[in-house]
Amino acid sequence: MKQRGVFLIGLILITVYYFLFPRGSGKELIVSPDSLTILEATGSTVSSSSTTASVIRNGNNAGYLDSDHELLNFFKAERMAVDQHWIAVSGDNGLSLMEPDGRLISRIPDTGYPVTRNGQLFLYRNDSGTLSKINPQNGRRLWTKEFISPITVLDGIPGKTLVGLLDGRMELIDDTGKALLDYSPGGSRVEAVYGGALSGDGSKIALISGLDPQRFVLLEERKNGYRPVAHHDTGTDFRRLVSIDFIRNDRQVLYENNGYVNVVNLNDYGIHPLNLSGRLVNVIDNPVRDTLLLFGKDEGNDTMKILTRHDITLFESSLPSDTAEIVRDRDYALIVSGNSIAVLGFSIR
Amino acid sequence: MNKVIRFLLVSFTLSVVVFTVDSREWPDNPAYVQEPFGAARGGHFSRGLSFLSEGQRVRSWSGGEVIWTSDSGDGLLVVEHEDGFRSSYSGIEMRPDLSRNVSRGEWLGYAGEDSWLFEITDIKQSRIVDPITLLPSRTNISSAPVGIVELVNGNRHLELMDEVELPPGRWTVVVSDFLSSGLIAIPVEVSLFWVGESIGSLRFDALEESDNGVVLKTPEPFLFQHVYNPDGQLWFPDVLLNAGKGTLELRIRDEIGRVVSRSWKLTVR
Repeated sequence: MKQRGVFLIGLILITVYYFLFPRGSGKELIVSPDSLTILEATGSTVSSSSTTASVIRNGNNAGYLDSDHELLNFFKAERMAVDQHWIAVSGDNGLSLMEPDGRLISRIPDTGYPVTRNGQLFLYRNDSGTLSKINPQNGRRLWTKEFISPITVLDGIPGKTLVGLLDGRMELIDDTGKALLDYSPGGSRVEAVYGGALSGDGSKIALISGLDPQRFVLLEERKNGYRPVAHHDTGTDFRRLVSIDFIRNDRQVLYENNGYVNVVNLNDYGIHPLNLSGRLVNVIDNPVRDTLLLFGKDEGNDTMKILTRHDITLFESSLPSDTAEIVRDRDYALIVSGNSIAVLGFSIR
Repeated sequence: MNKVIRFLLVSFTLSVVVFTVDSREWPDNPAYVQEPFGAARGGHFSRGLSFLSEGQRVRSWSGGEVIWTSDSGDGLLVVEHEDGFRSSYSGIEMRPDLSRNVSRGEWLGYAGEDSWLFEITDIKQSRIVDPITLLPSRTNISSAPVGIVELVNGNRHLELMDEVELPPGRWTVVVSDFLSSGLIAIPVEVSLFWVGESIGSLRFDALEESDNGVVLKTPEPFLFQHVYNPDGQLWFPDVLLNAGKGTLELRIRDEIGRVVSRSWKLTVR
């Protein structure tokens, strides 16, 4: 009898403890402010031995930062493309390709808008519809193509370039300039390509095309070339560039919708929405392990959101309305607003 | 009865023509034209009419639906029209409250920095067409200039005067300063004749995409380097001039159909 009483009291205590006292929930995301760097000309030049850890850009200003997020070098130009290993600045005399410390690699006589995608360098002239791919290591032109229609979408990986056109076509071009694919999604009253992305290995292409209806189309490389494997109406009516990207090791595609973003799973092509107000500007895969960072702009109400791999919001914060971009550097997020770079450190403890 | 039907047909055709011209207008002041379609522009054909920019309002060429806006780069706005054309306005600062459907003459934005470019694409034929052929005719415009004509053979350059003597052989005829701006008529066809026979004709009608790049339909497809020399001057290369006397004639047809011509008496020996 006495033993049963002790057992019952013990059971009650265990139950009370289980429900009332907090249990360790495993590891948690810790976001902590790290530093603030001002993006402006310092007057000093970087030594060539300094290593650049990250590069940021806001409009006509660009800066290279070291691993402590101190500004190493600053550039100001109207037309430029920046990468961690080089900077391309277009002027009246052509395109100057430089090292991050400003040393000239090569000068190309052509003028236009330099654009970078995943370390690839392109030069676009919209008055002549000319697009060139340039090797940023030596300034050699890999290919040049002229398009009748304005280019709306450009994405690239080594060996493949995706070009979306306002006439509704998309072209996939290899590094010799040969067209690997010329495809028109069709199926809409107005034919145009409004968004497009190449997967990391180049085997998949995601597109947003047309008006009335606007559609999502996914192409996948098979033995006999690229084939459409999924498509659906997006219910949107954007008449501008639509953000779209492959995320989570190319297992999902994320694209901008009306006041939220849609995630398409590539195993079953199922779709689910994620709340993000405004226009999707930036997507960063894995700012810390198994997370996803989204940056949206909504008429002065900019937001940064970090999601778990199950799309549960871990962290959400408002950002200054002049935030231009968020850049990942190891376990840090560099938030570029106006002429300041706020650095947030992420850790899991 | 036939007369009645003919009258009705003519009236209908005229009303369609009047309606079509009425449904379009100049997107900017015609006197602001800086460079015509097809001109040499940094090693490429100009794709439309370039207008001088003084921050003036830019208007829609015809009624239609805005299908693209982009603030990046030079700023581009594209309107799709019901008749199978798309008009694009590049280098403008867009009106912030622009609606999706615009009417003819509705203002779209302000002209950007130094100049802005107006293009028209025929989407059914996938070609960019000369806007001057689809704009209401300009009145009170001066004739197109004939320009300067030179004969070139290797290092020899001969500027053509009224009478010229030259050795026989293959010559390149170079025409420069014939493209107009402002209220001077735009040339739409340039032809060259030797002893009454056509030795070359270039029509600035449309640009198309080909395997080798963008070509001018003249109506033969010509790449840029077939139409312009490296200095951006119009050229007719490889013209064979045999011994004898003859007349070399340059004819330029302008936007309103007028033809101006100039000829030179050549003695080849």
